[in-house]
Amino acid sequence: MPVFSDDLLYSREHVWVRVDGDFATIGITDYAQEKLGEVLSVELPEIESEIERDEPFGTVESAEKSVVELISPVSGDVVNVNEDIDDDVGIINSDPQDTGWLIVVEMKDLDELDDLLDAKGYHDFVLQEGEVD
Amino acid sequence: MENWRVLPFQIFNAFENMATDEALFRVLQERGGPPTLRFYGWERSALSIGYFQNTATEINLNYCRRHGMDVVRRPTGGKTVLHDCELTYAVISKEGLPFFSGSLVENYKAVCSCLIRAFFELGIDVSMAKECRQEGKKEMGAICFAFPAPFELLSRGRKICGSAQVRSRGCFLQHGSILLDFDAEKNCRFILPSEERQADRCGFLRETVTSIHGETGEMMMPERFSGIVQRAFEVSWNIHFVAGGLTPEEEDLKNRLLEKKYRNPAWNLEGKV
Repeated sequence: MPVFSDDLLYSREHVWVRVDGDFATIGITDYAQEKLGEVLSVELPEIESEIERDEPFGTVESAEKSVVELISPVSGDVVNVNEDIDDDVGIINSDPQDTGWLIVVEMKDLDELDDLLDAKGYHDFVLQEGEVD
Repeated sequence: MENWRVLPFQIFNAFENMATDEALFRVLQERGGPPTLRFYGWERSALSIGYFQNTATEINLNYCRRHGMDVVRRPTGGKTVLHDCELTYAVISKEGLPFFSGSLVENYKAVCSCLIRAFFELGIDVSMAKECRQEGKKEMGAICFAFPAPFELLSRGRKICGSAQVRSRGCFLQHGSILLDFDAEKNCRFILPSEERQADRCGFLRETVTSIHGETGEMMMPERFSGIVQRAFEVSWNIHFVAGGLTPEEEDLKNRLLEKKYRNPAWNLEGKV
């Protein structure tokens, strides 16, 4: 049963956001990592690169030979990348919504957060996909 | 009955094949449209490598260069495939159709169940792998056909078809190689970076991979098998195919991807564009 945390916002592309002022920490949701299966590789943007909402900012590869593009929920500049993933990509599966975070973005437009879902809204959204009790 | 587009079997080079698959996938995300089943072959033998693979350590790049073998990086995951004597298929679709759930594995199973029906038409009893084979993984790990992922297709326990996916924005591209024949030695020469214990490793491949020729003793023409596969999709999913070609938008994007990405050594060798 995936975890839906009340302190996070969620995108319909299965990415979570933790907001701290103008900064957004971003990762993939627990629901998404369950769907993906074992993550083998991840490709993330470099610090100081710019990302745009609704555009891919990275990719992950699962053990099922699938590459999945990660779609950014916000626009802004990448100010931090989780280097722990280089040492242990498994934390994306084991702790996706905390230590398995991916990047931190300095947001350009906080209004973009209005389009994101809270935990209940995201739970209802994935219920429609028919895989969650 | 839902309408799908079929792009009938055509032969292109490695770079055009990957550019076409990605163009179909991107335009579907941007503009929508019917799902597509595409069949293709390869103008000359080529290696395709998975999105995350390292060409310096996972293929015999020097040997490929000396023998003029094209090397192209796929937009999908997985390991190295020597495209030689095969029928390649691609399914490009949204995820929300009745026979696809949101899960990667369920999508594989849905497509592979159609392929199983097609093999059955030839009298080949094919089933889905239940788990990834671990034996020999360290030595043979870069060769796609050495290791079936769960739900890939086996005949008598030997892999006969390998597939991979990319997903984005609610759409997916799954493409795969259906082996009409298989040359273990050629695979080893072009893919394995070291010649150490080459004979042993070729023996491993011969024992773990098969093909339509290997199962029936007959050479199947790719055009003919593409018709059988198409029919299997129609019957399995109760869909109707309309033969077509690329739209002008797809053609334009294919050409742009060809120039900027798939003919670009930075992408094919280093994964950068």
